[in-house]
Amino acid sequence: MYRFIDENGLLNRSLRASNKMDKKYINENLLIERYLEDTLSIEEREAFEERFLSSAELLDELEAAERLEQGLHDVTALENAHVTEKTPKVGPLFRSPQYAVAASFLLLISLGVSSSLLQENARLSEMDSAWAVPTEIIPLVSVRGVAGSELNTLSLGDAPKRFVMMLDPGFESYSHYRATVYRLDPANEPAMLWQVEQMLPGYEDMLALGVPSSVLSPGDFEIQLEGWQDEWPADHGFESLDTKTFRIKK
Amino acid sequence: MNDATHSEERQAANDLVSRMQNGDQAAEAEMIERYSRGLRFLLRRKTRDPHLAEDFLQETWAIVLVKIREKGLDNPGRLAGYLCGIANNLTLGEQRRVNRQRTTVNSEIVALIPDGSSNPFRHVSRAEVCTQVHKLLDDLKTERDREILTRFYVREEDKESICSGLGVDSVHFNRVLYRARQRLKSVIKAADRRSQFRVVS
Repeated sequence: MYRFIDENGLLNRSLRASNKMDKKYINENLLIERYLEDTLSIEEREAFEERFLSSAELLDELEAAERLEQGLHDVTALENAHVTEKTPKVGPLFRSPQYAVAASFLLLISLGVSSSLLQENARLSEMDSAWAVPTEIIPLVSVRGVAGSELNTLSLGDAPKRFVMMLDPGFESYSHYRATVYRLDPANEPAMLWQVEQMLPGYEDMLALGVPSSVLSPGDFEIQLEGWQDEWPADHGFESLDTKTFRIKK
Repeated sequence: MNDATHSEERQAANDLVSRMQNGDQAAEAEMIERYSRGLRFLLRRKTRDPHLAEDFLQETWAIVLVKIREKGLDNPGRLAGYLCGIANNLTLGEQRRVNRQRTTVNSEIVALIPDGSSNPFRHVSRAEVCTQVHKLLDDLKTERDREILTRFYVREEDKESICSGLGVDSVHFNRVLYRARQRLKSVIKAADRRSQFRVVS
């Protein structure tokens, strides 16, 4: 009835696969997601199962991924149900006389409120312009293809501003990070423009790199992200983690 | 995943098997405690039936204990792999068998198997997870990342087509999945910790 268990044969087949299954390999090859959708090869599956049996941390990851998948299905189903439930009720409401009266009343109130807010904003912007600059937050993405993809293009604009670029530190954890901005010039070596050290991940484990627009001008740029572990000796260099490119236009 | 390196795991497994062969009952309890959560997860995925999974978990332990007590293992360092093999074969056998003869309940083994409800990932309710996933999607900074999660997990599109459709590379894709998982993991654990507080009057 059962498949014959050749203890040594069964184990040897997955031995090579299990030896390379560290955290980086598992994440880069989406082993967790592929296990849950049952698309691993037999060798990979056997090695992965052996791995998670003895790792509470990997089991946590698996169970979190399983519940994430379930949660996303539930959220999508709820959203779809919400849309189909609401649609037939909206039409008759918009056509009713009560709706017309209520809408007119709300319009009058909102006109009054918005005109007073407009005056207030004008007054505040006069006060603030002397010491504050607008901040633009940009999640920089890794993109296919060459440097300066259109996806990471930022507009300089006329007024001074501050760009805050959100950088992904990757899977491994470091004590702190360093980001360096280089200007890319096809005719010369990249020129270092801006550097921030001692960075730590914040919201959603992202690193926030602030760069004032005054140091940038139209062209292509590169950010090199590096990591540092406190236990490393002083002569150990930073470890290079990622390179992101972006383009500045007028 | 760095909580038990390969060599540490093999050392621990060698030690457990050796002690069990010498009749150490505490080692048997340790083995069951150490591997039950993983085996339960594996069996639940394979059977899609939590009750059947519990039956197979018990049966796996019965088979393994008899084998180790009587003959030991040729490769004790690979105990985890051997356990997976037994569990997988039980589920394969179930698919082939219509009237399966269940092993009789071994109350000694049942008492040793840890209770699965202590696992926060099983304990936190589906509604709570749904709320947290909804919040997680709302908090994503780009619509693109939300789309990656939905297209991959819900519409079950493959990674390659999602990446080419959205113009993102494999690394960015992997990280969106990784971060979403980490975020959910931490909120589930936090929700589980909160639920353990009781008002004492």
